[in-house]
Amino acid sequence: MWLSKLQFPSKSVVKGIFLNCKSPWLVRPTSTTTNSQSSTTIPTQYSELSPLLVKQAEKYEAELKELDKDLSCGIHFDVNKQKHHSNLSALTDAFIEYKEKLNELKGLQEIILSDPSLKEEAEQEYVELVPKYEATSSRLVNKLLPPHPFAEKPSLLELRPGVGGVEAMIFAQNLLDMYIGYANYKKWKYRIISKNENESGSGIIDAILSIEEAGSYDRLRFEAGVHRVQRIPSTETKGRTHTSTAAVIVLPQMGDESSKSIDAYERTFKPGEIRIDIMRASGKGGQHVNTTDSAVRLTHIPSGIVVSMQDERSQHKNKAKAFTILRARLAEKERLEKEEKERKARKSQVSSTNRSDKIRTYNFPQNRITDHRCGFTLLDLPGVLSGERLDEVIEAMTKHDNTERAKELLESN
Amino acid sequence: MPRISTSLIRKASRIRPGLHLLLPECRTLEQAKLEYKWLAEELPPGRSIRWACFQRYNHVPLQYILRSQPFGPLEIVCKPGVLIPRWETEEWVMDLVKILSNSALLSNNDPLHICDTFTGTGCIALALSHGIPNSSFTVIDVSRKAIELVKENMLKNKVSKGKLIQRNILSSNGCNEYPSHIDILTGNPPYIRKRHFIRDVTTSVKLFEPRLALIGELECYENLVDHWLSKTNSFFYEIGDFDQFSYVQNRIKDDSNLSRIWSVGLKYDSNGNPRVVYGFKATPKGSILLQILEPFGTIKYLATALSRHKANSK
Repeated sequence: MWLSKLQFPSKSVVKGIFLNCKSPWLVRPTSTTTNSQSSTTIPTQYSELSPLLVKQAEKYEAELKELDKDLSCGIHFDVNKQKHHSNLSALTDAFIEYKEKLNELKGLQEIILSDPSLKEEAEQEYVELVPKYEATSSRLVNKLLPPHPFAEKPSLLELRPGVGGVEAMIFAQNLLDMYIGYANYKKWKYRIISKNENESGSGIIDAILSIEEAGSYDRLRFEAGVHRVQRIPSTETKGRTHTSTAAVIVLPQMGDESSKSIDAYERTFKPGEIRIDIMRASGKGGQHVNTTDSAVRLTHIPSGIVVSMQDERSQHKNKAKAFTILRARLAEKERLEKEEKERKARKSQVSSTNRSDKIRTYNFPQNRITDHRCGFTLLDLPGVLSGERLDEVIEAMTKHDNTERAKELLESN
Repeated sequence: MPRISTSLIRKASRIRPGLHLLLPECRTLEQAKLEYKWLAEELPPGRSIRWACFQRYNHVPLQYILRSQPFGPLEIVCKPGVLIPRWETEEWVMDLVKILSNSALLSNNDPLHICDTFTGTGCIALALSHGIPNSSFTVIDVSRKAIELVKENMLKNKVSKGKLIQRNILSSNGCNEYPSHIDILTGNPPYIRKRHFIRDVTTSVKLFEPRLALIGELECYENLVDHWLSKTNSFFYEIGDFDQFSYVQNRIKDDSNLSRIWSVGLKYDSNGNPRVVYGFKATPKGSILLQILEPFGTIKYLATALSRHKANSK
C-alpha cells in the first residue's frame, strides 16, 4: 500500500480517472531493497530514465557546448541556429535538473540505509522529493521528443455526420458548437468557412471551421477521428437510446489566405495537375447572362482529391478558399504517408493512435465522456460539450501521445 | 428552360418564407438557399428580405439589389444603367494581374499606363491598377452614369491616379484628351449581335441591364484596329464569339504594317467560350511580353518581326 502510493504521485486528474498512467517501457524501476537488519521496508522505488534517452540527452548537451564555443568565438548565428540554440539550452537545463534530483534521491537512499539516526528525516525528504523528480523527468522526456512538423500551424476542422441520420447531423452540430466554445474559451480567433445545414433546420450536413491561432493544430490534432454519441435523441419517440457517430478531420493550415499567397501556391502546381471546374450551364456566357452561381470545384489529378466551394459571391474568392482546403488536405496526406513509411521502416508493432476508428464516446445517460485511445474518462458531459473542459480531455491525450512517441523514439534508437 | 415543378416550389416555401420566389432566377434549391443567405447578410439597410425576394422574382439582378459585386479583391458598386461585371471578365482580368504583377516589366522604373475603354463600373481598370503598384490609368465611357459610378468605385476601393473621360470613342477619334502613350489597353465593348439578342440573352439581362453596353456588331473592334493600335503597346478586348476574334486577327494579318509588328492571341474562359482577343507590339518589350503572356492564352498569329527574330536566334 505504502509503495503503490509512492509509485503514482499526484497523477490523477481532478474528477478524472487515469487508467493507464505510466508506460512500463519508458522507465526502469529500481529494485526494492530491504534493510536486512531492521527488516522494515523503506521507500526506494522511483523510476530512472532509460539509458538510451540519457545518452540522447548527453548528445544534445555536447552539441550545446559546441554551439556555445562557436558563440564565444563570435560566429554569427542566423535565426534558425538561434532557435536551435535556445531549444538545446532549455533541454540541457532540464537534463541538469534531472541529474541533480536523481543524485539527491540516491544520496537520501544511502542515508536511509546507512544512518539509522537520520532515517526518519531522510525518509520524509525522500517522499517529498519523488513527485518533483517525476515532474522533471517527464518534462525532460517531452523535450527530447521531436516536435510535430506542423505543430506551429493554425488548423482547419471539418465535421461530417456519420451513421445515425438526423441524430448524427445534430451531434455534428453539437461538436461544432463544442469546438467554437473551446476556441472562445482559449480566446482563439475562428471563422466558419462553410456550413451546410440540414434542410429541416436541425443539424449540419458538413461544416469547416478555421481556427486562425498559430499552434492550434498541435492542440487539436488528436480530435481527428470518429466521435460516438449514445443518448436518447430528440427525434426518438419511444425513449430508446441510440448510438450515432460524427467524423472530425483536422488539417494544418499551410499559409495565410490572402489572395497573393494563394496565387503563389496555384503556380507551384504543375500545369495539368489541377483541374478547375466551374459549375455552370452551357451557353454563350459573358454579357449574355448574369449568373450568381459562383461555385468552383478543384480536382487534384495525381491524388484524386476534389474540393468544391460555393459560399462566396465571387468565384475568385471561392477559388482561393478551395485552394486553402486543397493545400491543407494535400499536406495532411503527405504527412500521413511519410509517417506510415517511417513506421513501416521501423517495423514497430506500435498500434497507431491517430487513425483508430472510434476515438471517443459521449454517453449522455451516464454523463460520461471516454477517450478510447488513452482510456481517459471524465464525468461532466455538459462541461466538455460547452468547450470549457475539453482542455482536460485533450491534455490527457497529449500526455498519452507523448508516451507513445517516446516509445517509438526508444525503438528507433 | 424547363418549368419549375410545383413540388419544388412548395418545398422551398416551407424551408423559409419567400425562398420559393428566388427559384425562377436560381433554378435549383441549393442556389436559391445561397442567394437567400447573401441577401440576408448584405441587404442595404431599410430593405426587407421579403422585398428583396419579390425583386428577384421580378428578375431584378442580385447585384442591383445588393448594390455591389465582388471583383477579384475589390468590391464594385453596381447601379442600374451600368453593366454588372461578369465572372468571365473577373477571370481574365485576374489572370492578367497575376501575370503582370510578377513580370520583369515592373522591374524597371517607368510606370505602366493602363487605358480602359467602355469601362462601365470601371472594374477592369481598378483591378489592374490595384494589382499593379506602379501604374496609372485612364477610363473612357460614353455614359454619364458610368463615369459617376467609376468615381464612386475609386473612392470605395481607395484607388487613385486615374483620369476619367466621358466621350463616345466611336465618333470622336482625334481627341486630345486621350492618352498619347498606353502600355495596356483593355476593353469590354458591347458584343452581343443584334440578331441574337432576343434568342441568347436571359430575361434578367434583357429587362434590367443597359442595351447600350450589350448590343454591338464589329464597330468597336474596327475602332480598336483603326485608332488605338497606333497609341498602345498591347491590347486586351473581351469578345462574345469567335468571329470577333477572326475579324481582329484578319485586319492585322492583312495590313502590311500591322502584320509586321503585332502578334495576336486568343484566350478561352473556363466555360470553354472564346473570351479575349489580345495582342502586343514587337518592341523590345514585345519579346518579354511574348514570354510572360504564354500562360494567358494561345498566340494565334506571330508578328513577322518576331518570327524572324526567333528564326535568327535559333
